[in-house]
Amino acid sequence: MNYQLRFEELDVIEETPLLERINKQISTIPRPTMDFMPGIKWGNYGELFTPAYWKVQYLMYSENEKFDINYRLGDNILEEVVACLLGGFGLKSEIGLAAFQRLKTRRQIKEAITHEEILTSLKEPFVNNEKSVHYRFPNQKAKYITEFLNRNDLKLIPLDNDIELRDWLLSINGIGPKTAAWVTRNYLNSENVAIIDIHIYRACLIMGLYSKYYDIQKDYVKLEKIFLQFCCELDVQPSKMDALIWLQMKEANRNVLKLINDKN
Amino acid sequence: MSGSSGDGGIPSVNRPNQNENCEGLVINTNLASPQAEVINALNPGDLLEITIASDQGPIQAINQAGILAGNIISREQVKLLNCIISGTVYEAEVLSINDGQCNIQIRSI
Repeated sequence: MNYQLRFEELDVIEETPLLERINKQISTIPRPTMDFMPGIKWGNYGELFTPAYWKVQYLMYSENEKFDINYRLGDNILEEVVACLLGGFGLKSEIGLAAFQRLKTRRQIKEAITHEEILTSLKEPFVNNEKSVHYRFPNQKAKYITEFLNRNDLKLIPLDNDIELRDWLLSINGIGPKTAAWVTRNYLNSENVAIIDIHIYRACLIMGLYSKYYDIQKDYVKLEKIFLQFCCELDVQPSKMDALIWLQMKEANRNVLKLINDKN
Repeated sequence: MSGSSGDGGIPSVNRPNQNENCEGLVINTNLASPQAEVINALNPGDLLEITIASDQGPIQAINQAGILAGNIISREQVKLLNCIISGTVYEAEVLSINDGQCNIQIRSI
């Protein structure tokens, strides 16, 4: 195919102006052999997943276009918590969202709702990709949601302080540290919490920030603290950085696994 | 959430390009860490070879003599690396040279 004809059909990614704008900032990134944090070097910004790489990627994304990271699902904290409770390991996000929309539309996300009302709604099949599907854990989730919406301290949810909110959310049956951080981030636009999922965990493992012996569940607070420190050292916003890392780590699955194997 | 699809939400970061086709990946950029002595000898229209130092990068542009002209950094770095590893061959055409900066267009051969 003729080059000229071919390129007329292609979208050219224009990064020249972007690089010109961040050129000075890139030039201030320390040399690869310099210490980034104790025991960790900056690394080459041209090599995947070094601290310097993440800094440059962050500069490129944040300079040229707005990060679009609005994950908020509910109109109030009760809805946000229920939306999170309806998701979780082993559940397709589309079905979780459909279940949330159903409860919301039926005005069932309210205080003192009964277990039967929630359970009935969750047991009705959903339509996904023109197929009828069932919500996988209706009994367990209906129990968590009902327990939550029948607590007698719902008027006392600490919505003015992100760490207090996160700690309060951890008192809900069915919510672990990652989900508590997620709700807090979304609801209060908090930069004082971090959402450590498998992609962030792997990125930090590759950089040497985490030990392979850390457990995401058991060591969550420690992992979160290290990630926030990493963002602080890079002078980047944790919310944007974890969205960027998530995106790239997911795309780079092959490179990621190789790097982790090499590390071990 | 920040990733985990099971949590209900999927984050979106604006991407420069959603084209999954390696052959369709075309990037206009400046060389990073340009090597002055190599750049000074280049002219618009010259072609550089795009290669990788390892599977994790860096992605390098080298001249016809095999000498490093500079590195490539891009928001599509992961994709570009994966495409090269998968066998797509890229070259960079020099578009202009100004004040020590070398502007190139990267595209598949």
